[in-house]
Amino acid sequence: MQTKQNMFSLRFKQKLIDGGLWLARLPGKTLEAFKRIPRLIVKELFGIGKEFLEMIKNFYRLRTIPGKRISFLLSLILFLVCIKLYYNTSVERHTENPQDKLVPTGEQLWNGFRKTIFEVKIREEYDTNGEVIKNELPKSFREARKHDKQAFADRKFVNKKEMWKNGAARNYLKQGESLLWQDTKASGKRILIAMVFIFFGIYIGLVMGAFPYAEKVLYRFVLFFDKIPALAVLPILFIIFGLGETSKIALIVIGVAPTVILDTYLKVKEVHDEQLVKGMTMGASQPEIVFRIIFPQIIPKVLDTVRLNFKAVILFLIAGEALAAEAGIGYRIFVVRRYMDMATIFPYVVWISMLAFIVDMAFRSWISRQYKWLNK
Amino acid sequence: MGKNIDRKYVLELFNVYQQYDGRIILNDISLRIRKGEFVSIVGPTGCGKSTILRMVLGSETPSQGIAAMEGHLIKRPDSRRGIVFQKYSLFDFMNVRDNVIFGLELEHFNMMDNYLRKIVPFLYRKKVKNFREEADHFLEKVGLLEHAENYPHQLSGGQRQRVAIAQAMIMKPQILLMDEPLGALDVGTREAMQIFIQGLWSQTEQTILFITHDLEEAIFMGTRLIVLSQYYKDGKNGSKIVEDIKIPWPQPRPTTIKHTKEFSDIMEGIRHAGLDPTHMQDINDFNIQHEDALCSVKKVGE
Repeated sequence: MQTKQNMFSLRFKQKLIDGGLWLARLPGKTLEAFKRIPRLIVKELFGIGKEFLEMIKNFYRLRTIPGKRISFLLSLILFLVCIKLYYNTSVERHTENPQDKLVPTGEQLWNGFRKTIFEVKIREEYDTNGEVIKNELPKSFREARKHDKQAFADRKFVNKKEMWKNGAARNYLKQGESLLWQDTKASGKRILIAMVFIFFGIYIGLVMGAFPYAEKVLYRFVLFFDKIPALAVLPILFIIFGLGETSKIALIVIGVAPTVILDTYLKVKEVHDEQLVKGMTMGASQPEIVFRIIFPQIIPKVLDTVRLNFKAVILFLIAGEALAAEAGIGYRIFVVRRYMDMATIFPYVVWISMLAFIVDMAFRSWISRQYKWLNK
Repeated sequence: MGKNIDRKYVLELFNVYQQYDGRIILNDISLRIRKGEFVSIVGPTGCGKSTILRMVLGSETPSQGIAAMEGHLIKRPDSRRGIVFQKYSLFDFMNVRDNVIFGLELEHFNMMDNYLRKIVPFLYRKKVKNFREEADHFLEKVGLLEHAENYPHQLSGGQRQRVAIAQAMIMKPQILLMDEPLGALDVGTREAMQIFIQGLWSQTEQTILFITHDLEEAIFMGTRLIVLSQYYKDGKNGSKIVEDIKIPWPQPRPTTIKHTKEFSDIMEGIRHAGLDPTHMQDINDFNIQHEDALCSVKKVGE
């Protein structure tokens, strides 16, 4: 009979042998895989050809199922058409006027990207007399670090902590943020604060839907509030709250919160009466029914609504920033508009769209993971 | 009225009337239910069976008369009366075990406890463990212990109703109300559930008020059968209790009992008393033809 330890060592040996064999076979396998590539290409091409013929045959037919490869290619067509059109216009305009800015060439676009994303913007600082101090920064973090180390070797700093505190490296990180990052930070802060207020709207909607007397007080008012076009009250907001952050956040909240409140209200109304009665027969008090029976049922659906309204949040954010701001994505787009600097506007638009897309995707996956009971 | 007096009747309805917008639904209903009875109420669609149940439950108050439980007026739904609905009895956002535990949690933990439980779970571990054991005991009783971790949408209709029964029974209610609990099930599951509920009743002696529109089911299930029907002979509309029969066979009953002569005799008798759906058509025709009958309804409504 084998002991446990014996078994373990045997298994370990077996694993070692397997691993060795796998390693020994690896070069041969790779070679085989490489040999397979031309055949694979031929197979794919044949597949595309077959699916293409099928497409021609069935193009005007209902209820057909397009193949995988041709579907992917078809989805690319409009993107390619757009790029081609853009390229043609760009070339045409640049033959007329080589300094054209409206339709930048690929090189100009790349420079714009580099300028906004990678290039460090030095934040101007003023001394007590109101004169500009020019910060001369090292070109990279590594260079700054090297500079610091040299200074430490020369005993300009007492210890490493002080070196980090007063050195060039931290200065680089602190001041040397790219334009895009600065704007994103400013806009993100506004969005986050506005989101807190919007989430407070869920609570109002819950109370409004659950308690009939609260409904009588709030419902008409919120309905009317919802109909006010937020952009029309923008001047009023700027007059009341000033040109600071408050007015921009207020604009987002006024624009989006009523939708969230009304949606929560409708979702609460959709909860079956049986569930409330059932809760009562289980001895739940009034607030327990609201917060332990109604709330968990509606919250994933309401979060979905908030997710879909993220587009409106960004819309109002950019509208607010366009009028008056010191930094922000909307602000930057509307500033460089004056110089017709398309090479800066393009990366900003792409960046904000990407950001919204990523936030949306993350939120969606979080909801579906958090509330598994929804996946019926 | 001390606690030591063993009250015979769990539930009492005295001369109950109910009307919506002047239209009379229930007309002078009086009913007493003893402890340990299995009462099934049967009647055609729209005759006010569910209205009676809602009044017993407390989600509706009668426009005249008294609905009382253990000598006290019924005001709102509470934990002394459990309920199983035809649908939507379960909470979709909790798994089966949590659904069953939920009642105990509501009883023992207030809102503050509920939040504290997430922050300092070790303070509540012992209580939660006890709840779990109790819930598992009830789930075993309904035969769904292996589905304890599943969500309601993963269960079949019959299983869901069984969970709902466990969910109501764990509160140890004085009376268990069932509002057409088998209405949405297919024939096979329905028969199995009928046998299951009978078995549960004979084990636990739980007082049950069972409402159904299926006459055969009603006779097969209950120890006492109450037949409601629309009553028109004296010119007044609204439903009345037409029959109140004791059903003699001991429980649990074999399904073959449905094919005996006694069973069909009882059924014939009740049909004659006015339950037959074809008979309902006659009632409607009568109401349309005799306008004075409708007038009297208006008068009563005023």
